[in-house]
Amino acid sequence: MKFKHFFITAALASFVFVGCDNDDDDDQPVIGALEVSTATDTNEEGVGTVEINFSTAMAMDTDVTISYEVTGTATSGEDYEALPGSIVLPAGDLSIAQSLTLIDDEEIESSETLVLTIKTITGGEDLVIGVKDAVTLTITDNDSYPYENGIIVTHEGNFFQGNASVSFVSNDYATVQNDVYATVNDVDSWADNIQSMAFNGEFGYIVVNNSQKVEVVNRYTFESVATIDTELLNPRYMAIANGKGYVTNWGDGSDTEDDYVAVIDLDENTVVSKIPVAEGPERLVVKENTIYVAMQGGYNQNNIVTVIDATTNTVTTTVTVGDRPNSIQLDAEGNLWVLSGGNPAWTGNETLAQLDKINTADNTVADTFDFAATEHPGALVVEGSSLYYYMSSSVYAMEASSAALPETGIITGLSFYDMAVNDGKLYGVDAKDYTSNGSLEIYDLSDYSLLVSKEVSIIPGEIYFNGTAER
Amino acid sequence: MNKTPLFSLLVFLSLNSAFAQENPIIKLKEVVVSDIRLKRYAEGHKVTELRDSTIRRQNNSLTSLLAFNSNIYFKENGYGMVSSPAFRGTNASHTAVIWNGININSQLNGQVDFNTIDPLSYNSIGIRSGGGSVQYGSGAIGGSVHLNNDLRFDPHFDHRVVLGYGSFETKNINYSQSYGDSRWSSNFGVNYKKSDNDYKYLKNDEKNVNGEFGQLNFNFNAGYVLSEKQVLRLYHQSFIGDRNLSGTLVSVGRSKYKDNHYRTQLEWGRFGEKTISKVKVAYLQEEFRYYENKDSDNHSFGKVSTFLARYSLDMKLSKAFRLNSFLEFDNYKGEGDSFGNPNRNDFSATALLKHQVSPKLAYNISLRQDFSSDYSSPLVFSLDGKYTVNKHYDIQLNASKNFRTPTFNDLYWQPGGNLDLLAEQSYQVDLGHRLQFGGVTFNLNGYYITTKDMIKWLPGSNGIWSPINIDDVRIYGAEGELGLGYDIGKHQKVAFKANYAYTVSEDQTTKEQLIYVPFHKANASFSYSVSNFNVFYQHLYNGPVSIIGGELDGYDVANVGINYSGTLQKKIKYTLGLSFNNVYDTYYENIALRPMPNRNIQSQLILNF
Repeated sequence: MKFKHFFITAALASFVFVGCDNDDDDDQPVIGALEVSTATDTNEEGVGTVEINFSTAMAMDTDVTISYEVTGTATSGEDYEALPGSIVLPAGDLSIAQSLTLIDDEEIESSETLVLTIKTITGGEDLVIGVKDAVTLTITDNDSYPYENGIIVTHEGNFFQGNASVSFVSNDYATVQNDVYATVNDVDSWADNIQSMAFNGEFGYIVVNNSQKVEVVNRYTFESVATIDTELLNPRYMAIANGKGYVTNWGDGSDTEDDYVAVIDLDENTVVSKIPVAEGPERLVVKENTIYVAMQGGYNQNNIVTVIDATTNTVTTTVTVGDRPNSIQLDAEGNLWVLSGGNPAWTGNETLAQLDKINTADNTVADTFDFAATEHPGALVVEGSSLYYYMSSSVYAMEASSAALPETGIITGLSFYDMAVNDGKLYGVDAKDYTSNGSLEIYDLSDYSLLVSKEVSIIPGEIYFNGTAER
Repeated sequence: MNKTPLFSLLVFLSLNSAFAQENPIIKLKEVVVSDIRLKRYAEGHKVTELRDSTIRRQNNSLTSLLAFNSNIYFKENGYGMVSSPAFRGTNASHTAVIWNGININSQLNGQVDFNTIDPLSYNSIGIRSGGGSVQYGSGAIGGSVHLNNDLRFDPHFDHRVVLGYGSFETKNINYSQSYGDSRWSSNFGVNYKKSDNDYKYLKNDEKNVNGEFGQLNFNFNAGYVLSEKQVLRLYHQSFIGDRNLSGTLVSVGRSKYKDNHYRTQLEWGRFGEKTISKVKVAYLQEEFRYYENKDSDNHSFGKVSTFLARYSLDMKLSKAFRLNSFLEFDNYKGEGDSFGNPNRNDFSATALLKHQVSPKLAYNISLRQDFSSDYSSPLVFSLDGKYTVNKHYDIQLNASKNFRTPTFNDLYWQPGGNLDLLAEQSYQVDLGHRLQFGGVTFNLNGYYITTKDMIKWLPGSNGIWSPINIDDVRIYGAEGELGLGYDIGKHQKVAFKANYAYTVSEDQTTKEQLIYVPFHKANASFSYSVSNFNVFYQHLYNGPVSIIGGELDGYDVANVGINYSGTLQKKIKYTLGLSFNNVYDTYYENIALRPMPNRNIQSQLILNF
């Protein structure tokens, strides 16, 4: 009986063994296979020490010296402390751990890899290098740029008081940093009346109206890169097209004939030419190589959109809209929306406000929406196919496909100086009494609830969004 | 008489002495002074008078003169630019400037730019602390500054030439003359000042670009005794200013401001035994042109003409009582790019009663009501008195209600002007002690001012800024003044004067000190004369002030100077002076980001003949 049992068991076992023969993951303990592994393949550079294990299923009766090679994108001595290149598995032990110490540096970098490959083993005659002869560790960075992943608020400050500033609010609203530029660059006063900001790649362009300059910074560190302070006169807004910067300038506010759009060489950070335009160029948007400039009229009034070809730097046409076009936006389908506030009552020539939809294929007005008398909206923002604007302390929303203007506001009782929309949230700045600190108010557009209100600095003007920097 | 052609011309200009005949019996003292109220109805007020040498020491800048010699704090938009005062912690429109008895604060902004007043044109500059709206109208809340021209009816014919030259190509030329006989008195002065004003900024390598200024000031005053009891007086002043406006550390200056002021008043006075009656008519005109770009002709423009008619009657009721009353009518006509063509009529009635209770005690009670075609004004009053405890010690007390009317900008500016504004109202009380022992004087004043309905421009929901009566401010403070003067032997003289002011000026909403009001301000001057030499040292400490969103450092600035006086050919007295301003080369801003001059030298030659 005993033999019978033995043979059956042996037969079954051999069947199983045969059946497993083609498996990659051969559980059958190959005598003396040395393999390498780690508990966690991905480690943040701040974790300290990572154990790399060399193991075998069968202990040797002599010491075994394991030599390994370290490769990968991570740099020895910078990302991790240098490894000896070999380790001894003592006689009788099944495993030995090589400690890898990661270096927690301050450098902002992308994730890097460290590949440890067993090259030779000496001292154990019955030991061979197993299938898992290499391990790949990914070292992730725990450093970031100080001003990425957050909201940038530019502040006008008071005219002639030189107290314009830039604030940064983190995306989780946990931190607010005021006076970012001054702090980073260690300057006291540097700007009188920041009108706006533009971005291109890693660069930010701060348009400082009453300092007659554009400050070029790294948008994620706010370290100063260059100052463009010649050939600008009452600069207002900037956009990037065809590899060049375009800055609207009023010239002398009292002169209706000297307005221009300055063309900036973004490598040299200098104004290379000027495109003369009509009175009061203000905000501008770019579609491919075409620049659309809303001619609000400066201290006077105007009622056109000037179209500039960025390949020739010439005005190709103008499109007549309502009086005082104060905001200009492109929708998801490439239509241009221009909101004109109309002339206010004090001018003695009050006119109706107007929203125009312009077909950018032929630059003609496709649709016009008239506001009621005495209504003077502003701050048009388009996200996807939704339009938002601000009027009489309320925010209004309408779809691009809508046939009529909305009758009621979605959020009321506001005091916004300007606003922006990003990813389902509405951001508005409240300048309060213009001499104390203003605030950034953030609303959830799904239920119009106030998410947070954050104190910023004096006369917050414009809101921008900084994502993750390229690494 | 000297017969040189220049001299003949001067004689011609001076209205010659052909009318000098008899010598009417008239109270000449009354006639000499243009504004007797400053002396007769101000017992309870501290009144400080600056004269001659003190005035001439300051390079012809009223701002510097008052900053170094009074408790008034100044905000100057860079040297020579717009300069506005803060008197006892009040704002720039709460200091009234009174030119020979009439208020000359701008109808446009309620202020006087102290850099448009040429101190060499006056015989004396008075500083009257405390509210004075009853007598001096709108804006006399912190106090008032009085520019006085005297008319001397003693026989004389004097000339003065002042020539100044110094750093930053600063040039000054002044000629004035004064003539008098028993019937006629006249004085005439012309002053021209010009400066490149391109001082170096001590903080960086830049210069004060676009700070050039030039100003021409002309004044002519005359009095004629019509009869035994009647006198006719005429005062005229023209100021023509042309300034480029310097920028700030972060904003380059490129604009230009031209402002002209013409002021003329004619007064007929009858000086009876018991009554003095006067009829005064005045015509004031202020106009400005602001050029955003100094190289362009484009500019904005504003102009206001004021016509004033006043009848006043001063009666001696009894030995103890005196009554002064006046009725005044003002018409203001404006014209400007930003406020259309408004026209406003104001009327006011005032009565002042003086009671000399005893030689030791006198007090005044006064009332005033203004009526305006465009806004309502409060009934204001004043009570002030002085009690002489002994020959060393006087006590002064005054309490008053004062006002500041909305300006043309407040009422009519397009857009935003608000015709529903009320006049700002202010109550105050001020207690003063005056001690005198030989050559030592010491004054100590404590005051409390509460001002409500202060006008502030705020943005409305439509984004348009508009003025409203909103701010309430409470101010209290103390002022000390110490003066010493000694003669050492026959030829030496020392004088020392020091002022200190502690000022709390608190916004009642925020409970914070108002911007641009220092808690501490002090100044001191010392002079020493030996025979023909005089040296002086003056020092100003201005404490830190809060500004929008921050603080501006305090500063110490000092000037030293030396003068030598002599006589040429027994006829011409001359003084040669050198002053070193900002001797410690202090970097300072009295308005944020507008650096003031570094160390500089100014020289002056004064000829009197």
